[in-house]
Amino acid sequence: MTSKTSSNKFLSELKNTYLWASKKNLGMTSLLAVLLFLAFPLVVWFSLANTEMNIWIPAGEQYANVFRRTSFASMTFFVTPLCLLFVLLTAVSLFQYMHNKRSVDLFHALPVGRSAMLLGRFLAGLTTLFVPLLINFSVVAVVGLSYGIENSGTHIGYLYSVLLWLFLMLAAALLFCVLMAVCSGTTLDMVLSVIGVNIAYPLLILAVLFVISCLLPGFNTEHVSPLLTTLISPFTAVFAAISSVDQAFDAEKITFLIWWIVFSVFLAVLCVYLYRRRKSESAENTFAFAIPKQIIRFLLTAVGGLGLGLIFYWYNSTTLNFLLGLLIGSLVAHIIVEAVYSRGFSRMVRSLGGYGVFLVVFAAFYGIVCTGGFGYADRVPSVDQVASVTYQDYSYYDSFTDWHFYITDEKYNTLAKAESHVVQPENIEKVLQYHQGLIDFKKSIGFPYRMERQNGTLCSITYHLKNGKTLTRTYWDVYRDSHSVGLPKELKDLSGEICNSREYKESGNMLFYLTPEIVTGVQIEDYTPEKETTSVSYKLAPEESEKLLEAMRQDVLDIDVTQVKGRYAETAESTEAAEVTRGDNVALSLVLGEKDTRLFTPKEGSKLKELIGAYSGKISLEQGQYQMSGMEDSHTWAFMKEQGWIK
Amino acid sequence: MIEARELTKKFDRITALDHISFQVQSGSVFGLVGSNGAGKSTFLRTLAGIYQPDGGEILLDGEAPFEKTAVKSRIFFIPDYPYFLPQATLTDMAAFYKKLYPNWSDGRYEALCGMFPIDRKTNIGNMSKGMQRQAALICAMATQPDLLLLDEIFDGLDPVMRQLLKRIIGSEVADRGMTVVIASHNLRELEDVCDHVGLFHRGGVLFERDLDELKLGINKVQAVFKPMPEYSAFEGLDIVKTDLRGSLISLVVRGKQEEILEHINALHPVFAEVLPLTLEEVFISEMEVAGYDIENILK
Repeated sequence: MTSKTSSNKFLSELKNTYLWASKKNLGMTSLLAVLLFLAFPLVVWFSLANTEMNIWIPAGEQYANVFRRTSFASMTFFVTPLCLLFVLLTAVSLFQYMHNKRSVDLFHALPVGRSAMLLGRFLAGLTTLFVPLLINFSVVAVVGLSYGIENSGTHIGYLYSVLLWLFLMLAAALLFCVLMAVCSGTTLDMVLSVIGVNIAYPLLILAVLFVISCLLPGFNTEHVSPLLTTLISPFTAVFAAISSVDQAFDAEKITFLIWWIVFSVFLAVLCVYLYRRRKSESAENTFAFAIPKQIIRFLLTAVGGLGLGLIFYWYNSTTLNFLLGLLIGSLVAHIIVEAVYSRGFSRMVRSLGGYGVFLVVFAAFYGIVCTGGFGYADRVPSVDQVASVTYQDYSYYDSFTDWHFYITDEKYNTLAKAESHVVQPENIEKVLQYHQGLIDFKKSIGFPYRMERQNGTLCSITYHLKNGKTLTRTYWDVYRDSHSVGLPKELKDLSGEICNSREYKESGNMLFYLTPEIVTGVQIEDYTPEKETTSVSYKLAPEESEKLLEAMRQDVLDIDVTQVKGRYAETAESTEAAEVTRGDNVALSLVLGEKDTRLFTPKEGSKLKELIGAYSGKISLEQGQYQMSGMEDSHTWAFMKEQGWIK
Repeated sequence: MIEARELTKKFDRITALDHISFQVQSGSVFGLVGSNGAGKSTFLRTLAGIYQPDGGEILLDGEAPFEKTAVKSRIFFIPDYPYFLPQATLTDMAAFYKKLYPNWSDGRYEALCGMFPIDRKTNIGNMSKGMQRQAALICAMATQPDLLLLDEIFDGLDPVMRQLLKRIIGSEVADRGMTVVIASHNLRELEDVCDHVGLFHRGGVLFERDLDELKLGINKVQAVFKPMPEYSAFEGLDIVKTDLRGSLISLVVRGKQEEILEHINALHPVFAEVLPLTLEEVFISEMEVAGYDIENILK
């Protein structure tokens, strides 16, 4: 009975606070609705109304393309920034009462519990943001439908998916602002803290990753998870969320979604918990709780230090330069942040303890990384642990010896990626031997490791272990004293052996996955300088396709990847020196699948079918050109001549 | 009944309330007096549930007000600088309070609006200090609180409004048994309206007493002696303050008027009289006893 009464009382207080705060924010809600209308439905409608129609393409498809393109651009460049601005304005409007002693006298004396007061206002803030969004997205949907966009269900679904993501991320952003309001003593500190964390955190992560990649051999920064870079920064995470709406729900996206749901709930609980403990008298002080200030100061100090360190390093790539920049940048950042938060220098000396903490943390971080990151740099699995290895040596590449390709669905979303890999134990041994040699070489040029300027990617190794895990290492070609530090010849030769192996070439090259019926034609381009460039298409019968594929595959197997570069006249100097051959001016393109869409259905039991798994629709493959430079003695060239495609 | 038990409130290193303990009976009008920074406003805010005590407790009828909405709905606090919602009129504020205070009375609100010369449709933020206080008082009285907390309420009110306020408070106390706690430096006004006073000094309570008892219990004696007796002759009197100017001696003495006069007359003065102290004089005397260096401050 008692709990029911108190629950009713809470709901009544919540409702009263919500209604009052919503009424107070009505002006802001209306303003947002109007601005969103100008930035979104009006832009989409204007674009649809002014679509330049192509009579060969169905109108619905053209409108759908314009609708999708304009919607995405408006949502990314207008709607989201506008909403984020209003998140901050709404938070200031609803929670600045905590930062004024007189208003605290009024609100904290009211017979309303703090939980109800905070949550009621938060819900009013959500209403201010969500109602205009919902109205405007619905108007956009109606506009799209009125133009008869093709696949309207998909496009409208996309629109509302973005809306749901926006709801989640804006709620998280508003909660983050509420947390900063609760922790801050003044509205200025609240706003500075919101902006500070949301900018500083992603920058800090990127800077830290970059420093690690400069220091630690093998550290891979090719794919940085958006979750990591935006973990506590909802204002930047919202952009990552919007841009990935049309991507499939893979593990990364699911983790991102779960994190932001869990983090939002955590923020809500934390806000209520802290607000109930917030001292009313902390209004007009700088901070109500000291820890956020220390965290924010640490973040900004670290960003300032790493930022200036990297700028110094950019001019002169030495570890000393980096460390000097780091010390100056971090100290200046610390002084500025402390002066802003403390409104002067009176607490500066006391705050130096916080700066000391930063220096200790950085020293520990740098020490760990430059000594190999707890064995990260030395780790090489044993041959027994490895099921297969995906390997790329970026110095060995041309169109014939391509080592990867993507398979996309009918909407050109990626279904699978095939990459050159090795599974045979003797080849795996070679990769392991190469990898160990690379580690030893890196150590031999300097240990503890020092900051090295990157000069392009050297190679990437991904071990697919038998226990289901993967181990990836990416190595940079380092640049020292204005020269690239080249690999020893025996290591380069070993890498060449791996790349020249049959299984390596076959596993990542599209030509070995195609079946004759997929190749429906070819296009031959001839751009001999003295003549007019010609592009001729030929339709192929299945038996012709089979012969062409056989010829091209044989050429791939015959090519020595270590000599590929020799086939091309790479620089202006060498162009003048080298004799231009007939093949330098000819390129061949395969026409795959249907004439217009380039889509096809892979044969049951084929290698392509195996790659796409359960997917049953049509697929498409990226189609590049095969340059015929230096290939005049090849099987492909001979076939082309035999067919009369080249003279 | 309001009961403070070892109540402590600190702001960083400053102890605003230092283990204070006293009681205020229901239905009384309690005046809080004390020097600047004595802790009067802090006490009111703690009692209003705005501040959470750092030690001890403050209770209204046995319940602490902090985060207790049921208790807070019986209390209304008007601070020294009342706050109103931005751009709000009296009508807006009335609508705001009406939803939150269960005892809100429209009839009382209308009646009060008739008593105070205030425009309900004017932005309160644009009103004078006195008018803002009137607006706050109208809202406060319309919520019909059991406990009304007023901080420097007489500031800015003209004499007529002060009388009106005193009359309203008197009738609310008489009719509904409302308890009022008023913190003020205006001792003349407090003297008129309070039945109890508490003297705060440096976070502690020097005393809290019935006003009549207080005023009757301390007297000012003026006597002329020729010759002036030795100071030891006045021993036996509870002297708070002595001022000797030639043959005239002025004493502030605790005790009953008759007993004091009897003691003085036994010393054969040329002239002697006993005068009751104003509250202000009582305040100054007690503050001096507590170590408040008034002479130096006034120099």
